[in-house]
Amino acid sequence: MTTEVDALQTTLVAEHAAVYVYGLLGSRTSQAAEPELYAALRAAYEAHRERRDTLIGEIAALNAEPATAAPAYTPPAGLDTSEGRYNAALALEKGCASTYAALVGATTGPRRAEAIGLLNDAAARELSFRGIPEIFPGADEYADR
Amino acid sequence: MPDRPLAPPTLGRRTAVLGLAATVLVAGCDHGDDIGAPASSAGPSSADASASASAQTPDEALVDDVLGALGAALGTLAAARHQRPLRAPLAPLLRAHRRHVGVLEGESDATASSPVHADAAAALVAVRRSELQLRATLVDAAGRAESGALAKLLASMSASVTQHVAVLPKQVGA
Repeated sequence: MTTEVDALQTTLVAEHAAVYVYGLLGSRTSQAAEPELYAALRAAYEAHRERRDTLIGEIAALNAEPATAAPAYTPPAGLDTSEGRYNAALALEKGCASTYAALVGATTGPRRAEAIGLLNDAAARELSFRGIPEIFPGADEYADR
Repeated sequence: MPDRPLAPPTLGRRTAVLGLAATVLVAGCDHGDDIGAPASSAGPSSADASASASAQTPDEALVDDVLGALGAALGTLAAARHQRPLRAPLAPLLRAHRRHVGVLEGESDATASSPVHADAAAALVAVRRSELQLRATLVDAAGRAESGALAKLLASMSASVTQHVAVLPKQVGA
């Protein structure tokens, strides 16, 4: 069974990756040419960076060693086009939503409440990357029922 | 046309958590061990129904509440769709809620409805208000669920509402 610390560590690993990929996406996006995408990427980067730092503190407070960032991440494909960057950001945020949904299931009390908020925030961010409303964000296992 | 109060929607309830338990088992979730009692294969007599109602688990009661809130939201949507300009924009939301009811193994009463508004703008305001209320119910229920799998499902449904509300037209015809 997944413990709360395990679920928090999994979420932290996802946040490390998100911070890296959003940083990469931002560096490939012109603020002048694509202000809407740039602003969305910046907002997402800052949200995930803040969440990463909070998680590091929470895990350390539980007397566990917070997971560290990987030395390198494989960049998503298609970053040379605007559409590719939108797609990469949307896929990344959907992945984060799934991670947050799993965190909801593995936690209780205030930590679960926080995870519910994170899931809702990620779902809203998906829309800023041209996502369309889903029936079960973060819980694809229900999608085909 | 004045607002017309109608009977609230009725939803099947008792089977909801039991059906969800089956879903979780199929999905292989590691939190599917704490949802509800096994279903009886025989149809309930009135005495059985009374006994089962009193033996309702906290999660079953929670699903009852959620199905009630979904029924109210569906009623508001059904009423709003009397306004032709809102039919297309509200279709995805209606579809989502029907799936939400379905995954909880509830049964929505398609004839039930809420007050019919005089114009599309008023109906849109009512839908937005109803959806925000539903989201609050889902968030609260997700926080209180004893089962992690149920919490995850309800949280996902709340996020779906968040997305659908965000793309509602700001004004009719927009």
